[in-house]
Order: sequence, then C-alpha cells, then structure tokens
Amino acid sequence: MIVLELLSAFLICLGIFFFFASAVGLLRFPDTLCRMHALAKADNLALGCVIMGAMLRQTDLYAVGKLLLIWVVTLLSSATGGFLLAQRIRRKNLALERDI
Amino acid sequence: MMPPPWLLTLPVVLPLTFGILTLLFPSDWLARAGRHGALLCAATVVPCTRWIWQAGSLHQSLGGWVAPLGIDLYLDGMACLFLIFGALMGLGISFYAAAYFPPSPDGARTRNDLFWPLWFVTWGGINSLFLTLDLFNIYVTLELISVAGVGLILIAGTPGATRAALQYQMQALIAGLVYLLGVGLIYNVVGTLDLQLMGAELQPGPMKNMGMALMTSGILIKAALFPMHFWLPRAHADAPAPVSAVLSGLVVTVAFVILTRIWFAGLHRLAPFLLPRLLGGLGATGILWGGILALRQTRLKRVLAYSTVSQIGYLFLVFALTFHDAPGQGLVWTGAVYLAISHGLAKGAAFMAAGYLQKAEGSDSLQHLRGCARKHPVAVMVLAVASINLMGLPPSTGFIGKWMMLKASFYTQQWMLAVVMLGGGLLAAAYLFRVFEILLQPAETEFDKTQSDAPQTEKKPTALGYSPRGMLIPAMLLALATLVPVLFITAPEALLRIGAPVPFTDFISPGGAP
Amino acid sequence: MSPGLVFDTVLAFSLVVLAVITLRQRTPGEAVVQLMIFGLLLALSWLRVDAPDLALTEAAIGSGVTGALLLAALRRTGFGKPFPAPVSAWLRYPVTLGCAVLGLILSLVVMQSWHHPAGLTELTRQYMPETGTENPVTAVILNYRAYDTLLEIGVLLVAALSVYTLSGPASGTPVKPPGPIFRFYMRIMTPVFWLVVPYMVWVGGRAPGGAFQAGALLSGLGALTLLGPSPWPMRLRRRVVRWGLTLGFTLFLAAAAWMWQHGNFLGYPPEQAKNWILLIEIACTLSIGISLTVMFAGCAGWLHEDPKIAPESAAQAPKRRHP
Repeated sequence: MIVLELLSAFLICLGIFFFFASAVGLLRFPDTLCRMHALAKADNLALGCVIMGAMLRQTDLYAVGKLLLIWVVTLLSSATGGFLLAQRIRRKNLALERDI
Repeated sequence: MMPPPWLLTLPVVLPLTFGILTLLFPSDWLARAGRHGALLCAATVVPCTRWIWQAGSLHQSLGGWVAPLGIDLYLDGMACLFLIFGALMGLGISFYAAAYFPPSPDGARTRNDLFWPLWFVTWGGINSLFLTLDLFNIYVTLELISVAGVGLILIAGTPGATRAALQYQMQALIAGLVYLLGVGLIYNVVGTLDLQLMGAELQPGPMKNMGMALMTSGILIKAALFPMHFWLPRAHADAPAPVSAVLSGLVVTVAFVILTRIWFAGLHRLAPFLLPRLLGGLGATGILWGGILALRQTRLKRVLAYSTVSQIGYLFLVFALTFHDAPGQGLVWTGAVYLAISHGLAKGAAFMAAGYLQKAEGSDSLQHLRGCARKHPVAVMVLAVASINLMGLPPSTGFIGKWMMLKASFYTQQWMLAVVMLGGGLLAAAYLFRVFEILLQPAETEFDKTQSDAPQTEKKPTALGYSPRGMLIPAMLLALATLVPVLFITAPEALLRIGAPVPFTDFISPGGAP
Repeated sequence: MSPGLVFDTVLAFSLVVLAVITLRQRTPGEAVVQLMIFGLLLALSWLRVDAPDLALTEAAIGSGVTGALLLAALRRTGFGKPFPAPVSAWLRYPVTLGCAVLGLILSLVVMQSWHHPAGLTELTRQYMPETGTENPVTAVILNYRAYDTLLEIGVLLVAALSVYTLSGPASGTPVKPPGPIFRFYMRIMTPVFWLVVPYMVWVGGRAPGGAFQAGALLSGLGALTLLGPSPWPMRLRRRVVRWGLTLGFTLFLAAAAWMWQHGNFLGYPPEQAKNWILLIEIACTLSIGISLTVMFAGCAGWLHEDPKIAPESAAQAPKRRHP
C-alpha cells in the first residue's frame, strides 16, 4: 500500500513539474509553433503523470476508467487542436512572425 | 371556496404558450395568431378579477411547496389592477403590431416575425412579475424581459437600433447583477426569499441595509430613474413603434411595481434615513431634467422617450412621500399607481401614433412632420388625448394621480416636491405644445405642393404595407382608456384597497381639519 | 496558517490580478483568453466553497461556452485589432473609484456582520424524499424552485431568438474544410459526446450534473459540427431547429400545466417526480445545446437570414426633402 502511495505521490509531483515546465515554455518560447510544443507537453506528459498518479489511488475500477477516458479525450483534442492551429499558421505564414 | 389551481398561473402560462406557438407557426398566420392570442391572454385577467372581488387576496404556492422553500404567487388589489393594465396594453400592442408589421410578400420568414414570440414571452414575464413575491424569481423574470427587450429592439435592424440594443443589454446586465448582489446579502441574513415572510421580521442591520440599497439601485437602473436614464431615450426611440410602446409603456412600469412591492413589504423600514429622501430628490431632478431635454429634441419619438424619463420621476416621489409611515400613505400610493397606469397607457398610445406618423411620412423628425395634422388628423388626435394625460390635465387619470400626490406633499409639508410636480406639469405642457405647434401648422404651401405632385401621391397607397385603421384604432382606444377611470373612480380604488400593503388612514393634521 | 487558507488566499489574489489583467489587455483576442482563464480559476474557487455544481457550470458555461462565443464573434471583428477607442478618462476613473468604494464597503459590511447564513439547507434536506432526486441542487432547481428554472429556460430561448434578430445578410467568411485529421477526430468524439451527455443528465439525479452542464457539453459538439466539413445549417427557417429550440421550454411548460390536475402548478406527485424531472431534463438538455449552438453560429456570422427582410430602416430614411 505504502509503495503505491509513494509511487502515486511521485507521479503527481512529476506531473506538476511538467506542468510548470510547460507553463514556463509557453511564456518563454519565441514563436507559436514552439509554444504549441510546450502546450502539448502539458496535455500529454504532465496530465498523463497526474492521471496515472490519481489512478493508483482509486479503489474503484470504474473511476480508473473515467480517469483514463479523460486522458485519452484530452490527448485526442490536444493533437487535433494543435494540428488545426499549425495548419492555420502554415496557411497564413504566421510562423516566422516573432511577436511580443 | 377553493381557488382553481390555474388561477394565478394562467396569466403567465398562456402568453408563454403563445410565445412558443408564434415561433412555430408559419409566417402568414402570425398576425391573426397574435390578435387571437392577445384576446385569450387578456381574458385570463377576468377570473382573477372575479376572484379578488368575491373572495379577496390570494396566495398560491407553486409546486405545492409553501413559501420559504418554494415560490409564492400573490394576488392582491394592486397586482390585479396591474394585470388589467397589462391586458389592456397587451391587447393594444398586439392589434397595433398586427397592422404595423407588413406581411412578408411570399410567406417567407422575416425578422419581423420574431416580434411575436419575443413579445408574448415578455407579456408572460410581466404578468409573472406583477404576481410574484420571491426576490430571486423577480431577478430571473427581469432577465427574461430584458433579454427579450434586446431582441425586440433589434428587430428594427438599423445601426442605431443595434447600438441602442447593446446599451440596453449593458444596463440590464449591470442592473441585474447589482440587484442580485442585494438579494444575496438579504438572503444571507433573513434566510428566506419570500417578501412577506421577510417583511414580518426585518430589523435594520448593516448587511440588510446594504442589501436593500443594492436591490433598490438595481431596479432604479431598470426603471431609468434620473442619473441612470442614459440608456432609455435611444432604446425607446430607435426601436420599432410597437416595441417602444412595450418598453416605455409596460416594462418601465413593471420596474416601479417591483420596487413598490419590495419597499412596502416592510423593507422600507430598513431604508436608512437618506434613501427615501434621495429617491425623492432623484425623482424630482428627473422630472425637470427629462422635461428640459424633451424640449430640445428634434424627433417625435425622442420627445416621447425623454417624456418617459420625466414621468418616471413622478412615480419615485412616492417613496419620499410615504417616508417613515407618514399619514396618508394610502393616498400617495394610490396616486402613484394611477399615475403609473395612466402613464403606461398614454405613452403606449403616443408611441403608437408616433409610429404611425413615422410610417406614413417616412420619418419622425419634427421638421419633417410639420403640418401633418391635416393629413393624419386621427393620429394627432391620439397624441392629443395622450398628452392630456401626460400633462396631468383634469379629465384624465394622470390628473387624479398627480392630484393625490400633490395633496400628500402638502400634508407632509414637502413643498419642494409640490413645486417640482407643478413645474413638471408645466414642462410637459411646454414640450408637448411645442410638438403640436409644429404638427398643427398650416403648412399650406407644402400641402398644396404634395397635392399637385400627383404621381407621387398616387404611388403611395399601393406601397403602404400596413393598415392605417388597424394601427390607429388600438392607439385611440388605449388613449381613451386613460379617461375611463374618471367615470367610475371608486372601482379601481376599492380594488387597490384589497390586501393593500399600506394602511389607508386619512390625513389627520394636528392643527385640525385638513 | 493551514495549507487550505494559503491556497485560498493565493486563489483570491490571483482572481483579482487576473481580472485587472483582463481589463487592461490591448486587443480583444487577448482579453478573451484571459477571461477564459479567469473563468477556470473562478470554477476552482467554487470548488473551494463546496459548490461542485456551480464549479461545473462555471467551467462549462462561464469559461467554455462564453469563451467560444466571444472567440467566434472575434472571428468577424478581428482578434488582434486593438480596442477601437479607449474609454475616456472622465468615465474610467470615476467608475473604477466607484467600484472600489463599493467593494470596500461591501467587504467591510460582510466581514463585520457575517454570521452563519440562515439558509434553507435543513428544510431542503427534510423534504428531499418527496422530490424524486438525491441531489439537493437538482431538487431545488427542478422541484422546489422549478418555476425559476422554467423561466430560465425561457431566457435561453429568447436569447437564441435575439441572436436571430441580429443575423443580417451573409457576413462571415465560410470556414475552409478542416482536413482529414479533424474528420477523424469528429468520428471518434461524436460518440463520446453522445455517451457523456446522457451520463451528465442521468448523474444529475444524485451528484453534480444535470441539464445545464449537459446542454453546454452538447453545444460543444454543436460548435465542432459547425466547424466541420458539412455544417448543419441553423437557420430559423428549418423546422427541426425551431422545434429543437422550443422543445425544452414547451415540454417544461406543458408538464407544469399538466400538474394543475394534481392541484398545483409544477407540483409533481412524489412518486412520479423522478420520471417527470428526468423527462424535463432530457428535453431541456437538447434545447440548451441547440440554443447555445445557435448563439455560436450567430456570433461567428453563419446565420444568414433571407436578404428579403424589410427592416425598419427602409421606412426611416426621409423620402422627400423639405426646404
């Protein structure tokens, strides 16, 4: 039990670290495509770690399934959203524009 | 005797039902559906009036949950009188609108069709507001009316109307939030939203006073009392004429009714010393300010809109005059109710006549309407009858209301208010006579010119797209309705006394006979 | 200081800071994004005061739907264009000052005389068995104070209609077809939405959830569909749309009036209450979803009515000139 608790805490902390890193990336990266990379890290890796950590704490298989579903849906949406954004940037040739 | 379960809810349900039906009906049924619907909706007032006349005031709990848990509707004399007023206005507006909006040429849906669902929903909401006793329900219903009002203004489709609608939406949002904040504070202390339950046990306290002040200011924005009137002229003048009649005749009145309900349910005891005086002062300033600005307008509908700003001021004097259970509350209160009703009817009729002139002449600018009394005598006649009311001249209900309030201001020795009321009447006379002076000018040469301009005048009737008679008859009837109570004044007064929130004591001045 | 208090302090502080930041943005696009973040933090603070239902609604409607609507509207006016004219200093400073003073007085009053709210929690709990639901929030919304909710559904319908009154001739540019990846996404997500929406309605009977949240979700699907290759036209001329818009309000009103025979408007008999509430919630979910989708389409400029509309403006322009 203790091992599970520890593992879960470690995963959640790791997730928070990745969230933090991606937030820093979002603020510091120079252009939109790079920032999208930072965002994708948050959705895939950081959220994944947090959700895995949370899953280890569940006693109910049903709740585990729900958590997994949240992650899968986020992954799908993030990938599609990122694609649409990148497509638009490419069409409008915004990528080179280093704003801010 | 048990009241039928539908008695108080039918006046709300039926207009809402017609709101849905007119959305689903095909376009070419709408005018007829609107007229028939209006007749049915207005008829729902009859059983209510009969009930109150025979059995007195009535509570009905919705959903079978009694007040602190559920929502109570309450029918007293005031609610009943205003329901009748709403029915009259509803009939007039519906018949007028059926003639005003041209039928679409090939039965295709147009934006004008949306008038009907929005208007019927507004009517249902207004009836609900007359009856409700629940503070939060008031908020929801006010939102309903405001959102519908935005849609109604937008039907005009002009850039000016879009701007007016945006402003209207902004004021509605701010007013709603401020009001809701007040409700939250009061609920936190009292633990109930029902006005009668909380009225019984209200003691002043900082939170309750604050809540009361916030609720009052929220409603004041909705009612467009003087410094918060900024949104009114544009919204009321740029909307299509039937909508102006709804907004200026009905919606503004409703805000006043709600404030009266809240105020006289016992919350006026909470009001700090300043608040009633402040309301009186704002009302007085509004009377003068609205009147002065109405003098300077160049468009007929703007004149009427600023006149609304001025007339609203009168209504709010009631709070200063009934201050701290002053004697003769009943009289002041009756006067304000008469004034509210007569103003609603008169302003509705006036906007209808103005809308007719605008349609017939192509514009409502006073310059453009110069001397049009000859061509449109009936419309100008309607305006004249409505004006008698707005000025407060003798044979009208407006006169009775003003007289009662004036009397009360003498007895409570608030001379300033009396002077303002008299001055406001003079101002109203000034800005309305200015309008008539322009409308009644001979303008012989103009007239002859258009007469000789044969091809132009002949073309006009074919392109009318509206029925003059259908527009003017409802307007005339509404205007005449303001003169009716004079004939049997005791009936509405007796009705008002049923379940009245204020004591009807006569003046007994310390010095002797009044 | 307990960790909870620290967290709440940080949360409250960042809410204020975010509000100021939102107000001070240069372009509407940035302001909308800030507003959405603000909505999410607000949802978090609802969670902190034990109001998960509110948190869910705030996240779905306050942040999600509102943000989508504003962004859709910005499609027409431009994300990056700076706000046209800054509010004049004459208006800005007095209003700011007024708000600050009001806020100060409010917080003083609340802090001075706050006692445990004398609410109706006890009473609500006492009659729960008769309401046909186990979630006190649903009990209040759909049974004790169902009249409010009925009118609220009316507000949504009316708001959607108001959006129609705004729709003029075509102004929004059509979207470019979004390509195979989006289509693949929609193929997977559409069933997921249709799984989650009914779940949301059903779960409202005993846990946070219900028609409003489910309707907001449904409108998400609606907005995605509108972005898709063959958008579902939301014209008011379509009978499906009109019926869909009114379904919730109609059914609610009809159910309420049907109860007249049991003696009370909206008074469901306790043993049937659950079924009635479920029925009303399903209908309202559909209508809320469609109303919000209509608003989205309207904001994005995809609701073109007939150009045949004869607006008032035609009558307002003066036809003749007078010397």
